[in-house]
Amino acid sequence: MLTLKVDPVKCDGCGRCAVACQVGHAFSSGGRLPVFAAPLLWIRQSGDSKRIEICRHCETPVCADACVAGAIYCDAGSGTVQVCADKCIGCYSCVMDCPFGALCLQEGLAAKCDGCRDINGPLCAKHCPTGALQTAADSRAAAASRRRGRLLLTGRAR
Amino acid sequence: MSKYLIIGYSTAGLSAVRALTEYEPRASITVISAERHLPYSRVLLTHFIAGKVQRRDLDLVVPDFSQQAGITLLQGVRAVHIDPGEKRVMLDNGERLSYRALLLSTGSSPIFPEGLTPSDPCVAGLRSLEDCEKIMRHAVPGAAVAVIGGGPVGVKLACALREAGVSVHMLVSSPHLLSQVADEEAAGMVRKRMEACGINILTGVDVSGLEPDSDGAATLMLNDGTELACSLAVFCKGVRPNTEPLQVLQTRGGGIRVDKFMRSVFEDIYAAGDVAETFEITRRQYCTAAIWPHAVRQGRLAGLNMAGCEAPYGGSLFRNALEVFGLPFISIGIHPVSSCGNWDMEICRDGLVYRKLIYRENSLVGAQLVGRVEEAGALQAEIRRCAVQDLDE
Ligand SMILES: Cc1cc2nc3c(=O)[nH]c(=O)nc-3n(C[C@H](O)[C@H](O)[C@H](O)COP(=O)(O)OP(=O)(O)OC[C@H]3O[C@@H](n4cnc5c(N)ncnc54)[C@H](O)[C@@H]3O)c2cc1C
Repeated sequence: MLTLKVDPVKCDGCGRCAVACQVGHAFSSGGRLPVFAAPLLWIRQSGDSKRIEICRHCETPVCADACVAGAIYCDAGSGTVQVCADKCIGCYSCVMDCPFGALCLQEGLAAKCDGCRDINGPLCAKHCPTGALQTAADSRAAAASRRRGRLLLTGRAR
Repeated sequence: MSKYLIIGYSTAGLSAVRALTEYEPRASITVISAERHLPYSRVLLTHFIAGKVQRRDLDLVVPDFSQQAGITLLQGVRAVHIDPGEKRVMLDNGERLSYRALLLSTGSSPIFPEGLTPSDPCVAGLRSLEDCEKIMRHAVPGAAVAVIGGGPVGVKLACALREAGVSVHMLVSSPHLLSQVADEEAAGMVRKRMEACGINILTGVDVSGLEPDSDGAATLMLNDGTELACSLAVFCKGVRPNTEPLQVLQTRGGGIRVDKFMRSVFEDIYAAGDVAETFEITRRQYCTAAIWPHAVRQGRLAGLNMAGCEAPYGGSLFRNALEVFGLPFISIGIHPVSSCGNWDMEICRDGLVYRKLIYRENSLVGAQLVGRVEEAGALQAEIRRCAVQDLDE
């Protein structure tokens, strides 16, 4: 079960998570000589500061509702939200609907955090010095982080 | 008698079925579908025309979904009349069905100018797979097709036809493309990209008539006195909600207005998707906000509320995303058509990038992005936050 807790307020935009994400994915795919793909999380300017934008793996993901091609699904086993590259048509609907800015198009397809399903624990959290990203020991913290997505979109979060 | 009756089996209807079966696993559900196909993604039809997806990619469910979900599906039949007093629905095959709770998810249909109908061999709309097949029969490389209407569906269709090798003429009655969702500058960037890819775009013109030729093609008469030869004219000039089954009781011409629990004014009749009029949070009025994510969400909430779980809808928010030959365009919320009122704009432009934020009384109510759109999601959330705050005040 994915237990990544996100607290963007603590993020100072150092970018180590992005590098860890790239390295992690390069090695997890099995090659000896890694090919560095683009990271699956982003440090973006927000007003005067920089902030992390990463998938919360929401319980009821709005990106999946927005997807017109049935390409975004919840993987029940890992508790993650995934994009099926074969089905994605690169229409930007999910990009427009995710309040966390957690999706963008890479090479014409929607790209987002895959929750590091294939390795043990997300590397981005391991390398975060500020606590903006944490692997939560208790799953309630992670669930709270996810639930925020739902609250925001029913328009009742404050 | 089925406890739940759903009329229209597409995005909203399917979403309701999923919610109902999840919340009440052994519920008795009957679904009436005018179409003979299982639910498919209408939005992918232009991608199908462009040859980017296969027929099977359009399907939204696996073939035995009805059995899995335990629903009764009546395909190829239409509901023609609803009697809210008797709680009965009459079908076009003469059958009558009673219900405990009813959902209208009948979507919408393309609007055609007076005197032209899709039964004419040279005239089409784009809504169903049948429409799509008709267009594809004409969409052979080298053929000329006229796309009438410059909204998001017209733009998507013109691009798809061009990708299929067709020569495309776009006829737009407004002074610029996408006039409902974009300003002149943003629309101009989209237009430039389409023209660079070989689409002929005429603005400020309308079709005044159509003359069939002897060889199966047609000549379109335009209101500026010119003529245009094409093998097919596809009308993408907006849609009208399919309210027919309730029409006798409907006084206004719009959709079926629902409250935040998706309930219409008729007892135990719910509506969701393109046919429903919901509260739009930036316009601050009830309207049909006919887009996919609304159909999904409203369908789900209608299902939950029909099953007795009080799940309120947070309101609709107009938005559109387009990809025009690699150029992304996103429009969210409202954009002022006149300068009256208290509007402020914040505009940034840089080559192929355009970003416009629209404020009303210092609240963010709209955004248009061209070229770079990563921040669209965050802006959308901010527009919702502002709208909710303003409503509470
Ligand atoms: C070409 C195209 C491109 C689009 N692109 C986008 C896009 O990019 N993004 C976006 O957000 N939206 C897009 N849309 C809009 C989106 O497809 C609709 O908002 C969505 O399909 C609405 O779903 P719905 O279930 O309410 O209605 P519909 O999908 O219209 O389904 C209604 C169903 O009810 C059936 N029905 C109607 N009357 C009866 C009756 N009396 N009895 C029985 N059955 C009946 C109809 O046959 C139909 O099967 C696009 C639409 C089209 C046509």
